[in-house]
Formats: sequence, structure tokens, C-alpha cells
Amino acid sequence: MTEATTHVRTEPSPGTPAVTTPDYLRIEGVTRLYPTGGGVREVDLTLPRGEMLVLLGPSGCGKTTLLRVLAGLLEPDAGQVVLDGRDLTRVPTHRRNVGMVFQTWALFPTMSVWDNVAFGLRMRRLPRARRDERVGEVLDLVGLREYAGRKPRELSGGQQQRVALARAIVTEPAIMLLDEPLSSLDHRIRVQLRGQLKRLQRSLGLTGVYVTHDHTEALALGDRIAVMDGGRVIETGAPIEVFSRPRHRYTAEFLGLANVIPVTPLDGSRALRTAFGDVVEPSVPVTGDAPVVAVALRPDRIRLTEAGGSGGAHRGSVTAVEYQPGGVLHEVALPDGTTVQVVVGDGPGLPVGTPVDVAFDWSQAVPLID
Amino acid sequence: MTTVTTRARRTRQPVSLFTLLVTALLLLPLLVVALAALHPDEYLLFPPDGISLRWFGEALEHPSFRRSLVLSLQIAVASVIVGLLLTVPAAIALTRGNRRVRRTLQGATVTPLVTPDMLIALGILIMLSQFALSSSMVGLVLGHVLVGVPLAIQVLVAGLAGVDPNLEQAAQTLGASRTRAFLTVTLPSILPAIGSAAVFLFIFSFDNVSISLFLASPGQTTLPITMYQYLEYNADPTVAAMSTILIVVGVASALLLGRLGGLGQLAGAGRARR
Repeated sequence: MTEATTHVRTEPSPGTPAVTTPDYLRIEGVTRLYPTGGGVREVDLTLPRGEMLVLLGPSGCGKTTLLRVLAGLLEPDAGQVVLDGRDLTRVPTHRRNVGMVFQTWALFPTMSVWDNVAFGLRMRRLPRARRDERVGEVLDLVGLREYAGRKPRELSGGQQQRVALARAIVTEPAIMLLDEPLSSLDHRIRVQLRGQLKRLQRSLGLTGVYVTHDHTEALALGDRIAVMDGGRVIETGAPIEVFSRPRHRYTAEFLGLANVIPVTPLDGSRALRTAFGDVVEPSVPVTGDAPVVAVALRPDRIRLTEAGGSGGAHRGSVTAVEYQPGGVLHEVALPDGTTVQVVVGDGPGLPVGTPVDVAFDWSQAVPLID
Repeated sequence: MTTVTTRARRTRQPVSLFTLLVTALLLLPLLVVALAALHPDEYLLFPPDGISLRWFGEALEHPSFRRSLVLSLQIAVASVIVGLLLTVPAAIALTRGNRRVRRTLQGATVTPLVTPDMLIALGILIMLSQFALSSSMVGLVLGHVLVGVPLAIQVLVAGLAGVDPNLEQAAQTLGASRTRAFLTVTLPSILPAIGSAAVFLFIFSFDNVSISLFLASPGQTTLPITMYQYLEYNADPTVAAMSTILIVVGVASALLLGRLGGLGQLAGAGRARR
């Protein structure tokens, strides 16, 4: 996946300075396979200091495996992990100076909140006074000072999550590793903690790798996103690039934010033809020489009118309607069997079964490669 | 033991009549012995004619009872120590090892439970004479440990299975070596299970008759054997008094087990407590 890496290197996201920062974290050709299938293959990724990399993908795509390799909890079959110029590949977990937040949080049940947070400092043999000071600071930071004497099981899920976070940052780790830390929380608390986590990461300047299958989390937290599938990194980029200009068909399909419409290239030109006959000439340039296999078009880039109106449009029929915060989502079947999703911003929408005319605004189409 | 089982269950469901009946039936012999121990005269009688604690004094003063009690306690404590040294590492290996190997091995550890005690005792006897070890103490401890191991392992495996494997990994990410992570995180979590295993090992040794019968040498007999031999020639309430003392020790251990959750772990409810 060298092309994905170069993509990241040559196109820094808007927030980062244009000067090429030396890569703080470098993952090179990391492979770790399981006899039962799964794992990661030849993953290359880089991350500058102070940024959050989100590994995004469905379960079983290898994102947790990669995170565990970074933590040293799994040894890679091949490849290396370099952090701040130091090759970590053969360094045991406890000498890596990482901070990890587990999906189950893994708080020590026999210890109080205070002792949980103090654990890492005790292992580092920090003098008692310094230790107490640090633990107090961090508990204040996550707003849990008054719960210091409690056992983890006496706290709510959100509070336990914050203890796990406090425990991971108290040691000032060289890198934070977060394994779906919010996935077992209620939606409301998840959104709240997500914001808190982002602010904390920014203000403390933490470098982190965050694993999730939830693309809204990826958007909210990532400075860059690596979309993974089947143990490989499909593409990487700043959130805005990955979401509004995906390069791979898989990315567009996994994010599910746009219609992915298959196309075949027309000979001798940049134009593409859809299965239902439209000719598309995307304004977004195609990078690389891989053939374009589909285009992504957002549901609000398609116009829907009741049948019988303007010409040049396709005749279809509404097969499903769903009310969403941003409008009414219609699923429309075209005669050739293609179904597209169309958002109508205002009005009550059209009932299921209505014959409709569909017009595509192809100028906004994003070309996708396999 | 049965009352304790019902009591150890934390739920406050009403106890059915059937449960009460079975419990009473199981406890009746113990009650008879305890009451017979209170009879003031020199023969066993139930119900007792009067109330006297005289025979408890006699039992504790009786030289051979006293010697046997001390020996029994020594052997039981030794069995606990040796047993834990064997079963704790074994249980850790079982829970972390290959799953298929685990099932086979765990099955194998139960064999002493289904082997007649006499065979175990005979085996140990032959082995000891081969090694020219004449001390009956070694043999007794070995035998008692063997019969206690199956339950101890089950309890420990159940206890370890309830510990989140991520805990140790979390400790490692925080700077603890593997050994340190085990000692600071896993070990405290399984202390109740270790306690339960220790109580089981103690009771199995303290109450054992069949193995002791085989391996005890003359003049070095454990308490149950001494009582058995005493009963062959005497029928005064001393034995009943001594038995009552044993029952009290047993009930105390069972109560302790209930508190530690060991009985629940045997019934497969070990996880529910966490």
C-alpha cells in the first residue's frame, strides 16, 4: 500500500503545517496473520507527532491486530514499528511507554480509582509525592477527583471509561492506543466523551492511534484516517479527503454516505458510462492509472420529481422512504435494476410506489477505483 | 454443609419445603451425635438424659486423641501448602494453554475423584516402599493432596476464567513486566479462589479415612482413624464429643467457603459474583 502512504506524505491535511514533519510513528510492512485467517498484511502507515490516526474498518479487518502489534501485545510476523526514531519491534510491551485504552477498559477490579490511575507511575517508581500530585492532576482533568476512593464497579460506564483514559495518559506515554473505547456506551455519553477526548488530545498534544468501526467517530476524532479491509489499508487521508473525495470503491461503500454507481470507461476519453446509459465526465481528477470502476454521488446531488415533468431524466419508482434529520431519504429503483438513494431536503417526500423522474448532477461525481 | 450451601446463595427466595426436608434429613445424624455427646454417663444414649460438657474435656485430654488431632492438623496444613503449590500453577497453565489440551488435562485431573481411594493409597504405599521412604507423614500428605486436587483445580480454573485477560495486558502497557502484571493484577483477583481451594484441600485431608487407614503407621494415626479404632472397644460419649469438635471445624470451613464463593464456583456460578 505504498501509494496510500505517499498520498498522505505529499498531501498534508489543511491543519498541519506545509513543512514535511519527520514521521513520529512509522509502521513499515507489518504483517501478522492468524492460522484461522484474519490479521494484517504489509501495512505501511506514518503519523506526525501530536496527531490522531483513526483505523477505520469493519470487524475482522485487522485494525485491532495492528493496534496490538503497536502495543507489543502481538509480535508481527514481518515488518517493523518505529516510534520517534526508535525501533520498537522487539521491545516488550512494558518498556514501550505506550498508553492503551481497551474496549472493555480493563480496569483493575481489586484497586480503587486512585490506585488504578497510580499504577503506571508506581511501575515507573516515581517518588510518592510526585505520584500523588500527578494522579490528582489527571483525575481533575477527567473530572473524577471525588470518585478516587471508589472501586471501578461502583462507577457508571462513562466514568469507568474516563478512569481508563486517565490511567493511560497519566504516564505521559509516547503514544496513545485506543481500541474502540467508546463502543460500549450509550449514544449520548459517547458523543460527549468523544468531544472530551478530542479536546484532551489536542491540549495535551498527544499522538494517538484510535481504532473504530464507526465513521462518525472517525470523522470527529481523526487528524487522518486509514480505511482498512481484509487486513490491508485501503486508503489514508485527512477526514475531509476520505469522506468527500474517497478514491476507492470500498471506502465509499463502507462509509455509506454516497451512492456508488458502477461505470465503464468510454474508449479514448475521460468519460465514463453508467449501466443506465448516462455519460459521466467527473470534474474531480482521477489519480493514478488504475481504471475507474464506479463513481460516488451524494444523495443530495440527485434531483427527484414526480413523473411526467422535465425530459432527459430517468423514470424510476420509489421503493422505500426514511425520515432523517437532513431531509427525507428515498430509495429509488431505476428500470435497469440500479437502486439509488436520494435525499429531498424539504417537504414530506413522496410515498412508496410513486413513479418519479430522476436527474443526476454528474459534475459532483467522484471517480472510484478498485 | 447443606445449610451453608443454601445460606451462601445470596438471593432471598423463600426456601421450599422440600429443601428444608432434605436439609433436615442430612443434618439429623450430626445432631444425634452432638446431642449424644452431652449425655453425662459413660455410655452413648440418644436423647441424652442430662446435659454435661464433661466428655468434651475428656476427649481433649485423651492422649491418643490429642496426638492424633495434632498430627491431623499438621498433615492438613502440609496438604494445603503442597496442594496449592501444585494446583495454582497447574490452573494457570490450564486456563492459558491450548484449548484442546486443556480439556484433556482438566479431565485427567479429575481422575483421583473417580478412582477408589484404596487404589490411590495402595499405589502410594508401593511407591513409597520403592523409594524406601518409611515416613508415613510423606505418604499421608501425598495421598491427601491427591484426593483434594480435583476440586482445588476446578475452583481455581473457575476463578481464573473470571479474570479478564485484558487486565494483565493493561498492566503491561502501563509498564509492568509479565511476572509483575500477574502478581499485582491477576493474583489479587483470584485470592478468593485460592482461599476456597485451600479450604477444600484442608477439609479433604482433615476428614479423610480411607487413605489414612492404609498409610498411617501404628502410633502415627490421624484423628478419624483413632476415633474409628477407639469405637471398636469403647462406647462412651468421648467419641461423640470428639466428632462434635470435628463437625464444628467442618461447619466453620464450609462457612468460610461460602464467604469466599468456593461453593458457588463449584456449581458454576463463579462468574455471577463478579
